[in-house]
Amino acid sequence: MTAQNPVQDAFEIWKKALEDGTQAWVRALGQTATPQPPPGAPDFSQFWRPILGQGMEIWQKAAAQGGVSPEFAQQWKAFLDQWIEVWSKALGQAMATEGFAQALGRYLDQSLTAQAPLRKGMEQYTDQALRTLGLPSRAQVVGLASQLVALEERIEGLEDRLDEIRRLLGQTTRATDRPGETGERRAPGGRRASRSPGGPAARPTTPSQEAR
Amino acid sequence: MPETRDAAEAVRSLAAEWTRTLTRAAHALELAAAPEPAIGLTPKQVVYRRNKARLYRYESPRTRAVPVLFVPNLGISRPSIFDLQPGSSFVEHMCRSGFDFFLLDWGVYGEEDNGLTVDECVTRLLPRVVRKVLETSGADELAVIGYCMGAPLSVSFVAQHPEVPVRAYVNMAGPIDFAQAGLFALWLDKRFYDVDRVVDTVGAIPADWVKVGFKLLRPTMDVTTALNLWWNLDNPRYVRGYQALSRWANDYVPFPAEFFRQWVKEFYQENRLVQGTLRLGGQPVDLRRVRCPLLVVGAKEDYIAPPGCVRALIDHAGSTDKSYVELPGGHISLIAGRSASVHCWPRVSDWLAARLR
Repeated sequence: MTAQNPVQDAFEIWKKALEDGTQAWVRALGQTATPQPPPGAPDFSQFWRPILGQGMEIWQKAAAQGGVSPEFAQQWKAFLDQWIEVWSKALGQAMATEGFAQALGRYLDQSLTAQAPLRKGMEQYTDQALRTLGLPSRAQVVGLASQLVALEERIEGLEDRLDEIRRLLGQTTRATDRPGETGERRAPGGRRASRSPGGPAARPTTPSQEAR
Repeated sequence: MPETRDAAEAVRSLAAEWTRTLTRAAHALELAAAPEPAIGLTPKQVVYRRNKARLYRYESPRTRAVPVLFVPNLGISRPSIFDLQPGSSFVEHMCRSGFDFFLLDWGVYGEEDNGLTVDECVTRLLPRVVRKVLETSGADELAVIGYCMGAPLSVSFVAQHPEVPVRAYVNMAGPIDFAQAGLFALWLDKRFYDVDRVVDTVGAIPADWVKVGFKLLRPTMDVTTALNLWWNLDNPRYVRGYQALSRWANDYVPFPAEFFRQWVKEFYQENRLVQGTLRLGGQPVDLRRVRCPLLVVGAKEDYIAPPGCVRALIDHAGSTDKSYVELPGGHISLIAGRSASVHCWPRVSDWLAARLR
């Protein structure tokens, strides 16, 4: 501790108290609090220690430069902001590793493995209960809604075709009235201004779309 | 006596801080009891609807003949962020600038829409939306703004339809080169993320999962937001903005199953858009066929669509009039909030105005 900067001293004490507290938690959780843990045993305090250290450094540097002004609230805010920024950076670095992505994938995989039978069981149970009550099952309601969506799509497809036929008829009529005019409009820049982007004439269709 | 002066200054400062703290506490109580603020207030009409999707046309002086179609993301969140509150709304800004402004709201999809794909959105829905914009406005041309996922979707449509008279295109924070898509690109890598298994097990991706994914991207964001709220609780304008933003931010939207499968597989895992291997509706998507004037806007601190992945459109599009700007802020603050109204909105509206004369 230095006699010149009481703020620095105070934070050294605070930092030590935090470290001691964490060691106590680690001990309570059944982890060894020795500086060198046996191989394989995770030392949770190792993760936050550099981050806490960095936060302390930031604060101590700020305190050493200007001391503590009466605007302590502003200083406290700046300290918190910087500390969060340090945390954010540290977490960002940890999450940008393949190890993290792999762990995340594994967690998701386990969760899906656990969820799949549970979900299936719930669905079966609910369906059975609804059938007993004479009510439509979830799958039946979803199926009905899907049919409505498909129906809407088909009606719209028909509207598209009608629009296209109307457009072609209009073109033919105009061409008959005034030979030489194609009926196409030209947009500034010389491109054709299509009134039916993606309409039946312009839109490519896949076999599955045609089957609809 | 310097010590006395310092002590007096400290007492004054302490008193001021104490008053501020009391005001904050009072506002915190008010905030807890306050009803949800209304958002999305710019007057609009539904000019087209299909299934859950709606096409809105906003009231505006319409001093410019060429309409602007805004295509946002599908799923994740609601488009109310673009029209948050009077005075802090991108839609309002565009309308005041005289644009005939249309916004496509993809809607909130349910289980019955699990068969919806990226293909269908680009080759069946977007063409109709564009046609409706032209029909409703009576214009021969239109401009398109794609935001976030709306950019790769709408730019794919533009690339597939060079006959559609798109006078200008703006990509705002829309990912194009998914190899540079940051943490999401890593987490969704096919070595670690089996999208088939996910979709086959859960079907539609629940809103809660979407929420967790985005929160994980910035784990300290909630703490920062809470702290910022505390420091600004004595500022009524900030509190109003916070209320509106938090109403939007807590409203996550699920992904339709097949859409998510195709999105993750073909865009994130195989990066087909920039590799020129993307096919939608059986036709290739060739970004070189995008030849209209192009503006690409990236955000410096965008973790969802980092600047490099957005900027890639400049390198791949065939346009000759193309420019890239990188503005301060993140994915959302690029388009919503006070900073956006200063840095982003005027850039976009001025650029469009110069090209839609």
